[in-house]
Amino acid sequence: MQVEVSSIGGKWTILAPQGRVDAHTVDDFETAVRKELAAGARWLAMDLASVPYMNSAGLRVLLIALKAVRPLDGGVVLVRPQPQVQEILEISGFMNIFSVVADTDGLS
Amino acid sequence: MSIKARLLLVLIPAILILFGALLLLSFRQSEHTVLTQINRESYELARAHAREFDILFESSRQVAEGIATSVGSMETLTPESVDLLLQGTFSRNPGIYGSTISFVPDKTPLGRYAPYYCRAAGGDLKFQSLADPAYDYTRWDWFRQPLADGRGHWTEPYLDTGGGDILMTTYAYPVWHKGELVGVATVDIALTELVDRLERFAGRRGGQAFMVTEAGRLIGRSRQIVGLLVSQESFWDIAERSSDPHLKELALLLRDPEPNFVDMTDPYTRRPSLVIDARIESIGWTLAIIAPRDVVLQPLIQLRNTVIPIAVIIVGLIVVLLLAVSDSVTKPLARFLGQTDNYSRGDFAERLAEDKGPREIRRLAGSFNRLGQAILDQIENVKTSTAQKERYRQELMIAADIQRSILPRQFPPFPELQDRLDVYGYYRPAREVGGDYFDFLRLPGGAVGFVVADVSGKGAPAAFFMAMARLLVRAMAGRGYSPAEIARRANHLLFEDNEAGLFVTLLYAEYHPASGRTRLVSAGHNPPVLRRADGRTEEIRPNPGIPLGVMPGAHYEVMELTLAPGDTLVMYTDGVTDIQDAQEEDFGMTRLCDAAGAAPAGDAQAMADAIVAAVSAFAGEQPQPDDITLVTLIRRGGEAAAAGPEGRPEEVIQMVLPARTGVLARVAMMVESAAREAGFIRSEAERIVLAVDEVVSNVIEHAYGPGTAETFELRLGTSDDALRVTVTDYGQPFDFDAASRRYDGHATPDQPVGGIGLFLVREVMDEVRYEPDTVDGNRVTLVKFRKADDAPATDEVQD
Repeated sequence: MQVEVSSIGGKWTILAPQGRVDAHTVDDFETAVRKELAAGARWLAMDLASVPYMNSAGLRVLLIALKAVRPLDGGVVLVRPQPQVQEILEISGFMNIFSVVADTDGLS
Repeated sequence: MSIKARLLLVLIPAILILFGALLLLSFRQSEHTVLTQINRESYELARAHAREFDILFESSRQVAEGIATSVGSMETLTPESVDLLLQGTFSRNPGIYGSTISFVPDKTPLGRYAPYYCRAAGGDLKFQSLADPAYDYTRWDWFRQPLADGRGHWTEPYLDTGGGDILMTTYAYPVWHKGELVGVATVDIALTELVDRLERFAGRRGGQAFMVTEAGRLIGRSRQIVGLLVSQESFWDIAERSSDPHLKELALLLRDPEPNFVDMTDPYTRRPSLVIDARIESIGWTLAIIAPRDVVLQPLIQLRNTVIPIAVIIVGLIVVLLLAVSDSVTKPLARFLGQTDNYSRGDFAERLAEDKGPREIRRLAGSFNRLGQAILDQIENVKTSTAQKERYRQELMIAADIQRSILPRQFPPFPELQDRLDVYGYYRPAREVGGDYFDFLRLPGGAVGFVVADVSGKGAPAAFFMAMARLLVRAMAGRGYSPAEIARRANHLLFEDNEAGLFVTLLYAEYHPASGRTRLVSAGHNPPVLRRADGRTEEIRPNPGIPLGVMPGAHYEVMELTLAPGDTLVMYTDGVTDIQDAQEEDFGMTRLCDAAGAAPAGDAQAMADAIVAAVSAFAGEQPQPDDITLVTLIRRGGEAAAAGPEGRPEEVIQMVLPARTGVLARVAMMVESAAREAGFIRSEAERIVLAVDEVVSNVIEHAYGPGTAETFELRLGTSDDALRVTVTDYGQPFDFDAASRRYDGHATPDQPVGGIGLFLVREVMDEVRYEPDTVDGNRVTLVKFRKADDAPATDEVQD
């Protein structure tokens, strides 16, 4: 699975998985996240616009990223989640610990 | 009475009679012979004696007549010449005792002259003159009689007192001289010697002898008969006077001039005697011998005395022989008696000698021995067959164990479904082990299965076949196959390696607790009875397939019905309908329906018990020929509406997939498709996809070790009201409960990263069940019921 990585304003690192995030693809997502963290990224924006489906494995990667940046006063935002992803976030209660934004334009 | 005693009792009298008759006959014959002999002999002897005496008397007469002639021829009669004549005559005739020539006193010159010579004791000649005045010879009869009639005369015997007590008789003959009777010449014969000879002769035969003169005087030694030598009285007179018939008979006999031999009673001794007589012609006397019969027949008695002991000895020998023979018969009997004692003690191995005793005994011994052998063989047979029975019994016990382990023991079998159904199974074997079984199964997707089956045959093979059939049905059902497929596959597998040619008829019911929907398949089994809640009953007739194990490639058809709340499905084996009453009438379907209709509703066990009671009452004392198996299933709860138009049968998609993450996308598509097919709206479908994905992912990542080429099974069952998903893996089970509770839905940034997936599953699905280590592996069952408000209409809007 492709994960497109970009940055906005030097602060935000944007990771955009391209496709389903499930047990089959999550390793690519996790690898990409860990790579950015290792590169010193503290502000991560997960662009989920191209993710039609995510399961708990994806949630786990999101949680790993959050846990990694919090001590560094960083943050993780979820951008444009699709309905299914929105649903799982709600069910899992992750909406309580992640902020969701409509697009990356508002990030600074 | 013993054989010996009987033998002796019959044979000994017979032998005695035979011998007695023989002896009697021989005695009679001998007696006759002896008597004849004696008769002849005695007659001859008597005649001889008589002849001898006759000669003596005759010669004496001639001597006397000779003397008379000589005297007559003398020229002159002188004493000297007369004496000389006498002396000469005397010496020439030794048989003469005495002799005289006595002259008439006045006729001759000799005057009174009577010289007498006789033999003195010692044989010397003795002279005596009879002219002694004291004697006076002229007065005596012997002198006077011849002179009177000029003829010779024998005198009666007399005792000569002159000459010295000698019994004699005298012949007196007249003497003529020159034409004149001048005197009498006499010859005396001494009878004593004669009598003695007679006595000796008779004495040899134990008898007595005597003579009788013409006048009836008796002469003899017998004092009893004669007295002293000569009787004084005439025997004729005595006999005349006597009243004794024997005496008269004797007299008559003696007077008879013919010789006699007579068997008569001795008038003196009164003994049976023999009398012989003979006439002495010259003198007119009779000579008689009378002898006791027993003495005469002494030889015969001696013969008897010899023969009888011999006969007794012979009879004794025969008795001994008889005893021996009877022993030879009875002794073997004792052996046989001993043998029967042996047999009665159970000792059949003893044998009698077959070469001893007579042929019949040998054959009997052989027969006894064959009997013993036959009994031994029989015992051996019984032992063998007992051992076979024991083996069979043990086989049956094993079979019974198998069957016990097969039959469900827990009621209710599905406690969690108690408000949905009530089921009860009843089983009564005909003998130790039957061929029936029933089974209750939990099926993937929440349905339950019921099996009622009847295996052909009995004993261990049938029990194994039954166990095999049960496992196959369980396995197929556990894989989620439809009833028809279960039957088809079980038939296929049972047909293989079925050398015993066994088969099983089977009714399988798949029951959906929520809806009451029931799918039936019959493999040659009796049609079940549906008892409606109101008591009406009807036969349910699924297309009867072929019994399992008979034919490969057989197909089975499913029949579907829906149980309304309170309805009862009665499944049974032919042991129920085929049982007969005393009139050999079957219980039959009609009675079964009646019994089910009359039974109390609402309780599966009460229903079964009532039907069994009806069957038992019908059969009465008749034996139960076959197993009786009964399963009653009652639908409980649910709304009557659910029993309305029958729903669509569950459609099942079932697949086995490799345990790799690459399949996840495909799984998600299939689940979504199935969920949509089941009527779920998109968002619901997506939630279901999530739950299944979480479970499948969990299996792929955790059930197996890394790098293994394992698989898992996914089953999607869609029906009108629900989607049932089962995921079965064959790897390590895990603590599903604990894992699914690691996350509680309250997310924090510090929370652990695990446990979220299972939380999601529980959140999404209506039912989540984890069954580790089932026959098919670890099974996760997920059920999502379609809610009434999930109407497709709104679904369209949301799409």
